[in-house]
Amino acid sequence: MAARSLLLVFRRAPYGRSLSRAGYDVALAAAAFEQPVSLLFMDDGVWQLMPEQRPEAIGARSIARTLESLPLYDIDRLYVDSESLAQRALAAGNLVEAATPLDTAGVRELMAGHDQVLVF
Amino acid sequence: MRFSILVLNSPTAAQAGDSAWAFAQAAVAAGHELYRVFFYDEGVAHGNMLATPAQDDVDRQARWAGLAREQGTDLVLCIASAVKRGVLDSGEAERHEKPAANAHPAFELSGLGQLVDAHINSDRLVTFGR
Repeated sequence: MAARSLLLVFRRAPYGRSLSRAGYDVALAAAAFEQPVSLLFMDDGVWQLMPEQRPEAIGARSIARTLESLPLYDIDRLYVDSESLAQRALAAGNLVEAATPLDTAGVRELMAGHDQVLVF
Repeated sequence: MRFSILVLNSPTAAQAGDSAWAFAQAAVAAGHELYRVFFYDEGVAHGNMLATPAQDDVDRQARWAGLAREQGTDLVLCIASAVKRGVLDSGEAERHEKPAANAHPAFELSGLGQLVDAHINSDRLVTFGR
């Protein structure tokens, strides 16, 4: 099967809507079909990377746990928009999974460097 | 160029489906190929045959079905998204012991593999909705 690189961009907060979970399901499906997958977190999507998520309080399944399982599926290219972190007074050093911080030019380059980009 | 489309919102809640439709029309008019439209998450409501639009409103489902017929475009509802929202074909209705099936026959229920296939086999995969 031909391999084409896929970038999934997460722009929404982790809970409250079904779309974040839907994005991870696409990541896992693409990895299962041996497509190289990268994830980029920007805007409110950076909240998905916060440690100590306790979604059981609102009856939701943990996004953090899903993130921690990604390396098992060979999904290990995670990026985070540093401007989105700065706007929210967050630091890259304290995230659930190690994500490479990128400035605006870096984000542009990342998007240009993938065959397809999907936004969730 | 060969396009596929990903639709993420229901036709009654958001503009996304209409924008996807307008994009599809423009792509076909410009001579491009439309390989597949994949309806995911809330987007699967597009395939609910029991949805009955008001008389003075557009029949969006008939529009998509017409496109599939004329262009040979696949219309795929994500099976996991569809089943949990109550959009079932006869096979799923039987499997889950539900009293009725309501997926429009122009739409096929299938897995996320069909989205990955569209990613592999299309020059561009364009998302509508969020």
